[in-house]
Amino acid sequence: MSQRKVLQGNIIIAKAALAAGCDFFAGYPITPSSEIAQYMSKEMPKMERAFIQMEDEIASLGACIGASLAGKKALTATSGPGFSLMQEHLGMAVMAEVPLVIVNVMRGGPSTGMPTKPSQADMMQARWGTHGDHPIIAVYPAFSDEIFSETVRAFNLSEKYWNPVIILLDEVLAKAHMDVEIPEPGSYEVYWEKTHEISDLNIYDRNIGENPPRIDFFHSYPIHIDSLEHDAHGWPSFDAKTVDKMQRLRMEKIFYNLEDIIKYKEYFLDDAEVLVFSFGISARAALAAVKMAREQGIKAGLFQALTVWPFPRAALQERFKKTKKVLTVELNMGQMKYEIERIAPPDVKKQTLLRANGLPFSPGEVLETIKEFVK
Amino acid sequence: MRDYEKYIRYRTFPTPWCPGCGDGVILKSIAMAFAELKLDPDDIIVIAGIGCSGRMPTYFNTNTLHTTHGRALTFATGIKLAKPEKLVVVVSGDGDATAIGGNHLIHAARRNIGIKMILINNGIYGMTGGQVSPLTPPKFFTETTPYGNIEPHFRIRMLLSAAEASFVARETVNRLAQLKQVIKKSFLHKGFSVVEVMSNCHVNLGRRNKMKSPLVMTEYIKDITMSMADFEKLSPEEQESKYPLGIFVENSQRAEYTDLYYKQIVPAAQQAAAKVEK
Amino acid sequence: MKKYEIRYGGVGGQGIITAGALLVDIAVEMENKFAIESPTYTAAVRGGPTKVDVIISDEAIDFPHAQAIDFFLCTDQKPYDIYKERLKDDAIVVVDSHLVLELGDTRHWRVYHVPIINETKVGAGNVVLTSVVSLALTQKMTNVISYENMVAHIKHWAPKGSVEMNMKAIEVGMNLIK
Repeated sequence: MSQRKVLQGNIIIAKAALAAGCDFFAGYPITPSSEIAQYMSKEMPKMERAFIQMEDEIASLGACIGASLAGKKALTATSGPGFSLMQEHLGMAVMAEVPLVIVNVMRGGPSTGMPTKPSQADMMQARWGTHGDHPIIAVYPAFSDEIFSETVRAFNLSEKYWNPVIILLDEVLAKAHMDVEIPEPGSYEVYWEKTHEISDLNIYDRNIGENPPRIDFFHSYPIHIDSLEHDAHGWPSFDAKTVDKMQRLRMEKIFYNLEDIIKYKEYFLDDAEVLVFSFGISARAALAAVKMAREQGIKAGLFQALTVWPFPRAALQERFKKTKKVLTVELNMGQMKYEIERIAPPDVKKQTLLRANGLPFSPGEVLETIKEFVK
Repeated sequence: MRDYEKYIRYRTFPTPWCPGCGDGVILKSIAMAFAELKLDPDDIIVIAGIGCSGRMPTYFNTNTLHTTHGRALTFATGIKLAKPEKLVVVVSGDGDATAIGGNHLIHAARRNIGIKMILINNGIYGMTGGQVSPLTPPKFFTETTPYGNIEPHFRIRMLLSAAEASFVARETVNRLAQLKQVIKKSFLHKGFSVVEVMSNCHVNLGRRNKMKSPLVMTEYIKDITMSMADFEKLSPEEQESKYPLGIFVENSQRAEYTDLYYKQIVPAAQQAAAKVEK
Repeated sequence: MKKYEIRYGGVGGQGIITAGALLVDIAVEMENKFAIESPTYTAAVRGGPTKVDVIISDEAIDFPHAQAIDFFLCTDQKPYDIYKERLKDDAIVVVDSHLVLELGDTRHWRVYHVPIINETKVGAGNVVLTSVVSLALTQKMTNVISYENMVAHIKHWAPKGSVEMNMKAIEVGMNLIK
């Protein structure tokens, strides 16, 4: 039987990671994510799993990539400044197709910003933080049960698609203690593709759209993994045709599997006149606001993105066939609103509720904006 | 085929190194050390960062990983902690290891994690075209010190000793037999080890400092290096431009990091957990 | 009770944050309610003004921050000044009668002046027991958790050797307001 207990958001992530088979953690202390590392340092040795506090965030993600290539399920957790430092290695993990999970408990930025205040200002950094064209998956839980399930899903997606997965979390949820249902092991999927025997060296060889097999070191045949652009053997290559294929292999493993990767929740959208698009803590305010709006006879609904990257374009466009007003609510100066502008047809009226002063939106504020918008 | 050739990945040749580069000698001496220890190539991983040294892993027929600039030790730390039984070798240049990667170097030494580092010191950023590095000797001309280098250089031996490294040695590419021997010894050492190898970049350092052939440059290395005994006879002023050779630190008493983790921390945590259950 | 919002304000070290944590634990783990607790935290753990908001509900909680506070307990002037907002009309406001002296406009609230800190020191023996005293006071005035569950939980939660002290603290809390 599953049990409901009180846990801090950060601890839910840590517990879920362990449940998903995470057996390597490397990290560096940073507010407001440090409890994840603290919990791991206590629990992982009991399970003979590896924990290490590194000298900085660059080193933390480097160690995670190394461990993942040595067959581990690796996790690191950080916040804005640390996430910025990790960007080069995030690209390395994408280039070498290394599964791992990064938690970014977002805080007020830029720079040191407001370490103890919430913000949703790393949305675009999660997508485009590292240089070069690259595929990325980012999930963003908002409710306690989602924090558990999305963390497990992040590990599954990273293993399945051989790509780093980012978990975004709000500072207010990371630090709050809340009721949560921890499901029984076995009641949720834990993906673990067994490393297959390598008979030849074409470790990256596959057809476009096919899921890559997980390959790691120390399995019967020595292999080479490179941060340079490489051919199917993993050996450096700048041959235009080869590079073109490898770029497409990396991008399309995500784009051929959007249905599996993209997850979202829809509330009261079937007859909605206004669609509120939001995620994380803002989506929680929006949900409360939408319920209040309904009580007042306003046909508002909520689209809560759980997968923020890749962007849930198709599902939103389906809604825009009927709902002709969209309100984007995000705790930043305007980031995901550009995605909405990009995908919403011209006949859809667009409105935003934006702020980045460290105060989350209250349901009342969202409700007022909805009312203004439907007038 | 000679013994050590088993550890060379010929199918990825040719190497990108200039004719006469010391990197070839180092590649060979590492492979020879593998051969003498009769290691299974799949039980070895060679990791490197960026630069001329960064390309070296590609040419070993072992597990190999080419990473980012200066960070090879971080990947190595993850791999060693994940698989402590494997031989984890890091090859790094002087810019890679002591400038952008300087922080990781001192922390790997402090942790005494069983990574075997070969630090190739050619005193210059070679691959990027000859810029000054933290190991470029004072007064030398480089692409970014056109009027001579005004910065002092790190003395790796002292830097690492201060970080309590448990194995620190220096050799040169002129002495293949000794180099192979020291590398082999470092592989047998339990904790973190650094073998600094004085190497020649006649193309990017020598050319701007009146040493444009490999021979002149290796002669120069011969001139500035000597045994510790000879080095100690020099006055402090003379010592400044000279480099002693040999094994400076070899401390097998210090516990290795992954040993401590799996043999101390894990049992302690499990005991504490068992106590709570009671 | 559909939804009840509680705010504790104090200064770091008094144990106000712990009171919030205890309340949520009891509500969720013993009474199967939905609850969330959002504490303030800063670099300085001791001395500065602190606050914890607790929401307890029979239904899943949409927005996790207090919006209309039913019960506000505050043990110091500075946190009172900062955190006396978002209080419902008719909210119960309990302030330390020695430490919170300037109350401002309180026309819409039911205000109680109680020597919380002093009674904790004298009656329970240690100021850190402010957490349990405040919890008991909350129980008595709001009934948001049951008395029996509170006692059972504190007995289980209290470190070995301090159960008696904590029981005493409950007694102090229950008797602060007659």
